[in-house]
Amino acid sequence: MIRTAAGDTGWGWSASLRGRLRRDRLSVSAGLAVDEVLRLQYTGPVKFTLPLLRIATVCLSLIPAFAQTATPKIVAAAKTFLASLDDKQRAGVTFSFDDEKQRARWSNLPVSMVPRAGLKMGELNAAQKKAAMDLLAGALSRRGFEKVQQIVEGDEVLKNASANKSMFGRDLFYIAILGTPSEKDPWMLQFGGHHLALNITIAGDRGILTPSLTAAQPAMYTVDGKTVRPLGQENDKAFALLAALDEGQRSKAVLTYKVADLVLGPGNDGKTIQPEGLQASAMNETQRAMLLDLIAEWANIVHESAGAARMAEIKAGLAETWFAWSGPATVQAGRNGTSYFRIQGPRLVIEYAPQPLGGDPTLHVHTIYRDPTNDYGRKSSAK
Amino acid sequence: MIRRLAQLSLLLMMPAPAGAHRLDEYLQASLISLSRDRVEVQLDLTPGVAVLPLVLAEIDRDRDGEFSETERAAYAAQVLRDLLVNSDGEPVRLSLVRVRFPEMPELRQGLGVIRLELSANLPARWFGGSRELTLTNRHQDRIAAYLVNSLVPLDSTIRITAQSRDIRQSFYRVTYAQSAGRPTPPAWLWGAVAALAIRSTVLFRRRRAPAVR
Repeated sequence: MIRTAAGDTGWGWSASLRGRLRRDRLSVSAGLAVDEVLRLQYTGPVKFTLPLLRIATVCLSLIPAFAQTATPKIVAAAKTFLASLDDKQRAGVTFSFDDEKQRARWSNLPVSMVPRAGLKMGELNAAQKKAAMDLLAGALSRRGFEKVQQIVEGDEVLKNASANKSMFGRDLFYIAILGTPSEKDPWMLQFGGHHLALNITIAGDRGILTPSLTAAQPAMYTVDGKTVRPLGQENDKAFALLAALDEGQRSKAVLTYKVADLVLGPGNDGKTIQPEGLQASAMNETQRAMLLDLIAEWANIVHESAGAARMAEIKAGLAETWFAWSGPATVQAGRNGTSYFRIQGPRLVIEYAPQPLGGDPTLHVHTIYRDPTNDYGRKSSAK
Repeated sequence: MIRRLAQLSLLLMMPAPAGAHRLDEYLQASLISLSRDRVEVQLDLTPGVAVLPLVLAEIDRDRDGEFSETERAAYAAQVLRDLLVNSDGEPVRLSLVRVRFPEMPELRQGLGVIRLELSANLPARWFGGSRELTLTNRHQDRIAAYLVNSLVPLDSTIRITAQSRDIRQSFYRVTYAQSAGRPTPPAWLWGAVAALAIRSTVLFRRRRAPAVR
């Protein structure tokens, strides 16, 4: 029996190949799950018999097809974006792949306070801006890109409500490329500004999103009468998980002290704090599935196949993953809460911290997403 | 949907523009790194806009709007006095390794971080066992929001077994198991051993040398 699988995700795609060898004949069946949420699934069977040599060729060509990632598309989009720039702009947007200063040049703070480098969206013409957004969209999942757009537009809302128009707004987000876009060699795409920092390392078929910061202010606003909560799912799923814990589990998960901010926010690369809270090994299957679903809000920001690989890593270390909570256990439906939570595993740190800064903490949220073993894709890009 | 955001309106009242920044708290975040015979503390201090005058009053003593070297050193010393560290029940004196101040405009907007890097030697434990370290932070207690955490020790002979804090995180206790092993001997001990070895060699050679008449 030959079995191979590529991709395994909460709301991405997955594919599998199964074959049985009998003398010089091989039967192959292929399974493809396009989207588990929509329950669209094709499970074959596709059975055929061919001479063994021919089968080997077919398998070798089929497996990469199933395992195909978004890398070629992202590389093409990056090249298109770079080609849309003039020489001066191109020089301004590109950095060496191992430029440590540029890697760490991100923050939750406005760009006027922590200057970013690269090209500012406000300095691009319409075609260049579209090329930049196409590149970003290709590197992210559909929901991930939507989330990023909602964070950026939230900053535009903040600008409109602010007396200081020069500190906020969608024109103040920067794009940068570290290294040369390649399907084989590692390179990095950075996009960020106030309340957003995406560090996406593309290393072959891998896409590594750590460290990244997603935040929102206002964390709730309306567009055409429809409420937008850029980080609402993170909040709602966390409260649902807490509610699903029994009293004994909750007593372990809930910390006895207040947490005012992110512990491992910007400027704290490469650090791992002692984990606290409730270990996933002490959760039941349903609760572990809820924890994974919550983690997927960060892990699946990156494009689908990279998100699937990341979720597989996180699942592998799930038993040693901790969930900690500080703050009220209840929340008004449709609103963000005021509670802090942290998820920490062997290859994962997620923090969600409402900000009691000069107003309503339900309207101002910071989150951080890290892999202490592979921030900036160091491990994946090591030669 | 996103492209039509020109018609955006806030669902709820927006916070003031300064709401983007820390306002009425003095965030003090400590990260503790433990090794066999040493503790290091990274302390990040972020004063909010509303409490900045209270903080500046302690730093900018001559009110000239700048931080002189003397003022920086004096403030760091003040913070050190407000931090109490105990190791296995015995007081430990932290020393300043490095201090970094932000520019005044950053502080004025509630965005500046003062970073202090501190360290102290811990009493050596020759036979390992359970150990405890406590950190009490009383700096600007009325306006402070404290955070304190231990990093996972890089030293494999140390394993953190428990952590506890008060609700504000102004008091922190970390208990850790230190397995038996050789702590790094102090430099004087190496010197004494070397001197003894040289002395022994000289004596041995003198005894073996044939007597000269």
